[in-house]
Amino acid sequence: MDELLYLGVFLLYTIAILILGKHGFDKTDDLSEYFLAGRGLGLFSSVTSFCATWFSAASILGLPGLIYDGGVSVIWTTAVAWVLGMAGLFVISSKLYAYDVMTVPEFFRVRYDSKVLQVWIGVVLVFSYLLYVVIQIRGFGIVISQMLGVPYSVSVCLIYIFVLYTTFGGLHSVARTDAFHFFLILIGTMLGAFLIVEASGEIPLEAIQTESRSSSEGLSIWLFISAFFTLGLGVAANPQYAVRILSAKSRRTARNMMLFSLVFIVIIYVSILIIGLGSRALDGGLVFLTTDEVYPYVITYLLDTPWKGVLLISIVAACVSTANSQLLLMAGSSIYDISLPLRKTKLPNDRVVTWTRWMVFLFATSSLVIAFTPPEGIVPFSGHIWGMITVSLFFPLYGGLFTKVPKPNALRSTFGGVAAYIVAFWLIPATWQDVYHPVLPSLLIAGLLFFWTGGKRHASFH
Amino acid sequence: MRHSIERKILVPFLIIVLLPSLVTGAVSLWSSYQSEKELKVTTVEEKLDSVHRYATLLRNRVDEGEIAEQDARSMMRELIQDTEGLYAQNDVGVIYKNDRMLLPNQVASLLSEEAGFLEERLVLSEALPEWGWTLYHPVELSFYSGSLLNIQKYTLLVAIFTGVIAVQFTILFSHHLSKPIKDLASFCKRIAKGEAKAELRIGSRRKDEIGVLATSLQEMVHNLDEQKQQIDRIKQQNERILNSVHVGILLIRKHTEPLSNVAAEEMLKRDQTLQRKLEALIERRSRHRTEEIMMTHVDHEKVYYAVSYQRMGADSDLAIMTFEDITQRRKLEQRVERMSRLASLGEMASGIAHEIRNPLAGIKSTTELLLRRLKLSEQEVKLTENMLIDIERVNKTITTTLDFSRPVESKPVNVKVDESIQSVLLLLRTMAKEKQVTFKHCVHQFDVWVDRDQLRQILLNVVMNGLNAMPDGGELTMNSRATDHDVILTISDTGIGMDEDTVERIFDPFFTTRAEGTGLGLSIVHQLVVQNKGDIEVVSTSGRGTTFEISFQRAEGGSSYGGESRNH
Repeated sequence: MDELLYLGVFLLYTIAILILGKHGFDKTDDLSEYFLAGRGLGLFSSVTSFCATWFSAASILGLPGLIYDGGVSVIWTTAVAWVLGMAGLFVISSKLYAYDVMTVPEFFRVRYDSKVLQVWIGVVLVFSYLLYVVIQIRGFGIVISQMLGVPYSVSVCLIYIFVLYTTFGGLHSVARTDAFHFFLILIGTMLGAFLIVEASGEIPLEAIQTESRSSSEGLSIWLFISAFFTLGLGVAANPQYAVRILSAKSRRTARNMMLFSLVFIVIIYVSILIIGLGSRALDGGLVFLTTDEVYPYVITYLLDTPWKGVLLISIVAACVSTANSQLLLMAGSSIYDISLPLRKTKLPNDRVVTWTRWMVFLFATSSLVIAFTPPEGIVPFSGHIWGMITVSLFFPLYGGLFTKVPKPNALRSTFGGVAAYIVAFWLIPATWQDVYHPVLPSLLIAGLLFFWTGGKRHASFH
Repeated sequence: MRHSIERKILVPFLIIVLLPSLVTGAVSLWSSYQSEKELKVTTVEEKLDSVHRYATLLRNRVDEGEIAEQDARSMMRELIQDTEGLYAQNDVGVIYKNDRMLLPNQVASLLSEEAGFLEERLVLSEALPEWGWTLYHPVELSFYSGSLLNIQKYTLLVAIFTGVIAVQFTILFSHHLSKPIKDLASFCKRIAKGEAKAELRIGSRRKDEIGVLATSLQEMVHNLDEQKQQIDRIKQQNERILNSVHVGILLIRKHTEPLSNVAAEEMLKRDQTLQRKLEALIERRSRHRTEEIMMTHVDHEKVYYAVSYQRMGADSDLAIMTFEDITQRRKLEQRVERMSRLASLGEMASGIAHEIRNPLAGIKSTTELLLRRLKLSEQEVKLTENMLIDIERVNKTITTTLDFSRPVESKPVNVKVDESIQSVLLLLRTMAKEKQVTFKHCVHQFDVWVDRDQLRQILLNVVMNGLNAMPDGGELTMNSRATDHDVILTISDTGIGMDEDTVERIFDPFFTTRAEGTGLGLSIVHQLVVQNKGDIEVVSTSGRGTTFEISFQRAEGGSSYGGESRNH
């Protein structure tokens, strides 16, 4: 009976996406409309889109599993680090909004008058997001194969057509479907927490263990610092969130978006924490290949409720909403930030949109092909994606907005930071990298290179 | 979206693509259901059949005395009890299950073949005549059953999967097909709203009918735009012409406000009387061309208009009216007429004077001779001397008349108007005192290009004329103002004033209202003003005073500041 229920929920979800995704089709002739929804998203759309993009497979699928395995301390190295990164976004929201740019890499061209920087940041985004989209597809595949009992390869094809469809209509479609996804995520996680608490109601509270199952060591300060510099600053410099600031209809909307989103994000993280700990209370002895499998397993086998379909589809919502947003940014960057600056002739707007759609198709297909047989260690490697984004973007973005540091420093910082990251990645033993992450030394080097004036004084805060 | 072409394409296509998926899924489900039903029914029938065979076998053995009937019955009951889903009705009609008798309502629900939505219930029976029993076995079937879903899960998934892809492609295709049409519609809407710079990005790249339609539409709009621009240009030119002419033009249509050009608006705004007179003329709606000269007063001055009214076409309710301010023209005509009259009178007076002068000289010589030779009484001497005085007076008049008729040469120089005024006022100060007249002189330091002596004579004559017009005292104001090219002197008195007829004739030679006057003073003034390329205007109201406005060419240089001096 469960499969019939899942099938019904999935069918309803599909119909909703088909209807909502069509919204942006007629509004995408103009570049600004396609990339930034005409910089006209109201507070509701901005908040729902921001939150839906915020919660990816890593948050909804991975985090309950990590809490199940690692206890409460996981929250400090994940959710808290992410939320701290959000403070950075709040700080730059006003200043960034003032720039009349289409993409975040374009900001670097405008601010530093450097096409090289725009192209370079575009390349960083394309590679980073390609891997990240693969992770989203993989998460979706796990959940759908669990839900419908179909092979993983079949289920990943489903997200492919969803993501393609919703990205075709640009940010208008993405934002509209994000609103739906946001409510699914919010209701799904809150409902999940409630049902798990209800199911484990007879277990005394003091019996619930909050420490790690595998290690008796508590939270190390280095671990937290590493997490903050990797995930926190990665979020703070991540264009997929910065672009939500640009797409808001006003500076005030952008700032309010951050404040309202914070409230919902905290509610959802608390629900995820309860899900993780509650799952452990239900059955603390489960062993899985990856922590991503914990939450789907708990829903499918440990809960007896007709709402299972909603819980699982909320994970799907998180995967699709993040994947289409990243796919849009990736395709947009490849054309607008890499191809166009390198071309001698200018392209009309409608051609740029058409080319971007082709790139959406190309990147989605590439991600799908990779997701069929995801390289081993791709999920742990996602931490390095955040790290790369942090070292290449953080100082040029924040320094660009708050200092008068010139182009050469920004170039030195981003290239030097990435080079330092690669070196640190090879030099720091893999077993140490959880605690002493390569982002720590490389970000320090990126910062030094950014502010180093070679004896001249021209870097001042403004 | 509700009435859009996209929906009209989308809905039928959606039905076309979804129907096969749904039908395939439904047929697949139905066939699985039928297979499952057939399988279940066959299984139950075989079960009943085997029980029947067993019952027959037991009956035979009972009949052959191998086993007792009681034992056989007991064995039968055990078999029925062990067989799942089997019910037995004994020879008295009671149905048993597990040795327990079913209640009537349980019997009814057992034998009922009623089922819920998408469910089916069959009750298969087998009579055992050897025992007088009947066996019942209900079979329940459902479309929701997990087994059916397990069998058809992939078929359903494939149906959903292909359905989703088909729907997405249908949406994309219908969007792709309808997009150019919607773009065309949006383009036409923008054109209809008057957006001149509306762009349509279809056409050059498409070679199909849409491309042809888009290209043709763009060409059509381009041509229309050019024609509109041409019409606008012509319209603007016409408007410019109509608004540039000084003739007021009204286009009159029944029951609507008349259309007017700028000149008409200005004239009607300035002159309410004219507006009333024109309205009266329009009211008459003459079928024939009507031409009139209308006279009104604006700021106590006469203004003349030449008005024309004509219907546009015999049956049309359109009419055009033109009116022109001809005051200046009329003044010019009056001046020409006056000058012509002055010239004629001057020539005549000169001729007469010349003819009188010679005999008069003889009379004078003779009279003087008689006075010297004759011994006249004191009274006779006085009379003779009076004769000589009168002869001298006549002679003087003749001299003046001859001076008036003789062409006078002017030598224009740069003259400060206020200095000339001051000298004249100084000269006439005593006379003014006697007449209790106050001079008021506003100083502006304008320079004019005139003959200095002639200007003094002009001013002297006009001021004296003013003094004579104020027998009971009053105020004589001398002011000046400047335009771009001229300086206008105004000499106003608060005297007795003149009626319109007098004003018309004051520049005529020998026209005077005073008994002792020669009637040549203002004629000379007029002659000198014209000689110095100036102009003179008179405005007078009986009982309130007279104002002379004399304009001369403005000289280079000179300044303008206000000031005032009073002299008695």
